[in-house]
Amino acid sequence: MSLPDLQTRFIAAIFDRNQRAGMAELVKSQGALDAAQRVGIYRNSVHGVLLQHLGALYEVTRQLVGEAFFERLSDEFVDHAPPTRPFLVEYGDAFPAFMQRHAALEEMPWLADVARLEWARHQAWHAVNQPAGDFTQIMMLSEGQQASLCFQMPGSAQLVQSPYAVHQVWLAHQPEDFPGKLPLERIQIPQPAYVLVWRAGRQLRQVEVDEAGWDFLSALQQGATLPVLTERFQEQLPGLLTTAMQRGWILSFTADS
Amino acid sequence: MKTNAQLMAATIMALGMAAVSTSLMAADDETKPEMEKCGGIVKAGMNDCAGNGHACAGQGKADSDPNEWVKLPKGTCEKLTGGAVIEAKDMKMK
Repeated sequence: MSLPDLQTRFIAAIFDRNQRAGMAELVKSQGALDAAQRVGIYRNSVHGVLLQHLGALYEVTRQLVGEAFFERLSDEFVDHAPPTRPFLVEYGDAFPAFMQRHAALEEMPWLADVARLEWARHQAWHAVNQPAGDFTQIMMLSEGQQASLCFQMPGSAQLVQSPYAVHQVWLAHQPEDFPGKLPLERIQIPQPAYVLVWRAGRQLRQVEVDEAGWDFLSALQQGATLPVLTERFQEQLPGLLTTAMQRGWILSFTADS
Repeated sequence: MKTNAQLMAATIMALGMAAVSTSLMAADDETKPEMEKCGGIVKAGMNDCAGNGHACAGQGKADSDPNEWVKLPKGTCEKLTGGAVIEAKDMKMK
């Protein structure tokens, strides 16, 4: 057997429990463990590391579904979508979609949305920093430049929208006290949520906005220019943009020279 | 009813003025702090790298194991309950 064949079979054994026997044929039994068990050591070790990663990343989801079910779910997930790149940090993005399709979670579609929020937090945390621009320079723009003016959100900014109260559910699982935090049993789950997650320095921030705020943030994210924003938000715009700048939702601005 | 041109001018003015007052208040230095290895405070599975005979990051098995560490800005470690700075000379690659 060639080395690539051997490696392919070994990988198959690690990410598919039914392939373990095929690999075990090539492994010697020794001591108290038979060949299949010895292959199993590698499978369990790889699954164990990925499971810990998923459990830390999807902490609230894990609490919601319970330790045992989460373990089963992530075990299935690892087989279903093994890592394709050697970066642990990138692993697990397909987990919410996997949950959404999972038969056992059909009755609770909001769980997958909580997981989506957790993935957004994970991405925001690992995003690259951008330098903050000097907004005092904005007053120097000519009228022509103002027409092309648009604003940049931090690279970490993630907008999460859900028909379920995912922000509230997430809050309920934090050890700290937050204003507006309710115990899980008092949360109305079927309630739309608009959440912005971003990172400021070493702090991950998360805020729930109303539908108008969401429209504004979405427009910013799509790179709407000042004339477009003005047309849409009229008298609200100075307040909206000032808040966005002060809270770090926009970091810089650009305009054609 | 203001015209869009007036609104745009008002928006620019509001942003500029707010930026001036914000930059006067901002005094936080974003210089990168020196890092140190802090042991004894790490949650299981959240350790930064090798220790305790296991291969690498994410393999720590117990909460707050004194031999598992994460990198923290210098000076943070001693403020944490159970935290102990791990000196560079104590670290060996296995």
